[in-house]
Amino acid sequence: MAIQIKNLSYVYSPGTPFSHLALDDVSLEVPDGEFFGIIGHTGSGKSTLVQHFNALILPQKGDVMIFGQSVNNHRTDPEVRREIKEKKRSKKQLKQDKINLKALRRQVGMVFQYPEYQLFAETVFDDVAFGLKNFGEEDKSPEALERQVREALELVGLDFDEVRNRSPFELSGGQKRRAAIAGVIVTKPKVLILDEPTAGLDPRGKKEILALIHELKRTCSPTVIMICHDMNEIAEHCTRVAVLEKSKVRFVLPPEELFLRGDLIEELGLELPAPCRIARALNKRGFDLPENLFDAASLSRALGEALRRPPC
Amino acid sequence: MLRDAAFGQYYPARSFVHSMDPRAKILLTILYLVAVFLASSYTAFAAVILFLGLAILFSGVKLKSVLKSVKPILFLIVFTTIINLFFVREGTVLFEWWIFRLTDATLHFTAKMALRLVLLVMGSSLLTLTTTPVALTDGLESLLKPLKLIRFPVHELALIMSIALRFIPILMDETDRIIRAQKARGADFESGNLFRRAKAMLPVLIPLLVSAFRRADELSDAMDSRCYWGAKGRTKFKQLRFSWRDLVGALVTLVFFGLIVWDMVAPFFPILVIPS
Repeated sequence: MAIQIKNLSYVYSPGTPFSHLALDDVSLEVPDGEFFGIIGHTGSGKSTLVQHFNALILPQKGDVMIFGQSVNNHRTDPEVRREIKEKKRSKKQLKQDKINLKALRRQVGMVFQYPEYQLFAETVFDDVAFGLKNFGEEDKSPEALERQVREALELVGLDFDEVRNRSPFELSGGQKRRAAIAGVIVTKPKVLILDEPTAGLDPRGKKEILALIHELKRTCSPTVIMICHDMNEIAEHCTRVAVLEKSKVRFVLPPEELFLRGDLIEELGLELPAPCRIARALNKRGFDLPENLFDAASLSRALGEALRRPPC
Repeated sequence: MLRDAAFGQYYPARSFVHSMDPRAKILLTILYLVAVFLASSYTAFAAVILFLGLAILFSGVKLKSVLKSVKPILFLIVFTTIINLFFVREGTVLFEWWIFRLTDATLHFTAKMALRLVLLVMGSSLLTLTTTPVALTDGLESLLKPLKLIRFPVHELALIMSIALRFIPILMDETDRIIRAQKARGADFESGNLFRRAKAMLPVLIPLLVSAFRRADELSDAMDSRCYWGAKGRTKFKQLRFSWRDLVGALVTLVFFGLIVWDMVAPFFPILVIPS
């Protein structure tokens, strides 16, 4: 099991007038090899949730397990506090727990929204190598470093020899995003989290990035978790989808089943994929089409069949 | 995370002090600051504390939030206290060791200094806690209007101030975001010596700077496209108006100010001292 979440709650700025419940008793499981989608409105807690997946936010209440290892906030956990008090666990061990967080983060790569805004180094090479150097590679030789950076850049579709010595700020928008993604996957995380990876791209750029994510899932990170606003993208790519509303997980379903509940989705203020909406509109006018069609081809096939049938 | 660190950030509430005119609040805060500097006897300090307590009570702000603003200057208070131990020489000696000399004058001086610093910070943070940045700059612009006569760019100054204030939370969020992104790539901001830690901040500062410039560019484009043309012929949607609250606030402040001034000058004019 890649990620396991149990009864997780999180409050921002507790005890102030700004306090805000971001997650309310959330439980989830993401097995290995899944393409897991997360949808929900702005402010429904999606980003807070995924930041728990690689221990960027430590759980206030509840538990997060990454590959079976718990990421509890060791300092606030009453169990650990007692152990420190009774001198069963030393401060030094606490420090080691902290280093373990780094190891956890290595296994779970995180691509934030607009990842190009985190580029900073003088050359693309240095920026991509940043993660590698931080995570303390076993093999620190310059050749090994170059090999891995080359691999990462070629994986995201950039020409290593062309971009390696260029400033990341000189690249085009799409290239920047690719370079930033390369900086995350260079350490070969087992789980890749992406927060709206297609935000702000044109339709073609969106398609390319989604194809790239599939490629990454196949070659380097077998488990992918993606936050997404676009139902069409969710329908086309994900194996399962979690729908968040008001800090709670409403349901976790494969897309085919999700879109059968069209009313519920519209009630949550989310938009169904275009073919679903067409099928639903036609059904209201007397057609009898299945409502879990979410690509144009299967809609036209079903429509063709329905039209060939003799009118009743 | 970082958001919690911002002291003096506007505290949303509906209260007597919140609904006062920002101009009145600015002027009364200045008067308060002068009073804190004038206060020399413990009676005067007691009056200042009483006034501050009243102001906090009528502002609806939790005492804890106001006290939080003192935290950043704790170091300064400790530092001045230690300096005083060296330099105040007069008074009856209570304790002497090597070059240190503790006298009763030292104690009084230090106590008053610390009180003064704490009261200064608490009072001025109460102003920013109860006044939105927009109201604050509006008030300041209105108060500085007379300077226009000598061609001082009052409006521009107020605009710069309000943009700067508006950008603080935005840049704070941005910093938070970038820190998280770099942490996800294994960056370590907590360990190592000062030099290493400063160096570790580079991957945060550079993207932050880049984004600040980008935002500035976008903002200036947005202002241009809405035909912003400086102060000339500009009207205000929200007109500032004094109300009965400002009158009450001013009267209370003046009474306390009068008390403190009287407390200060009374020793020089024996007539003013109430015979006991």
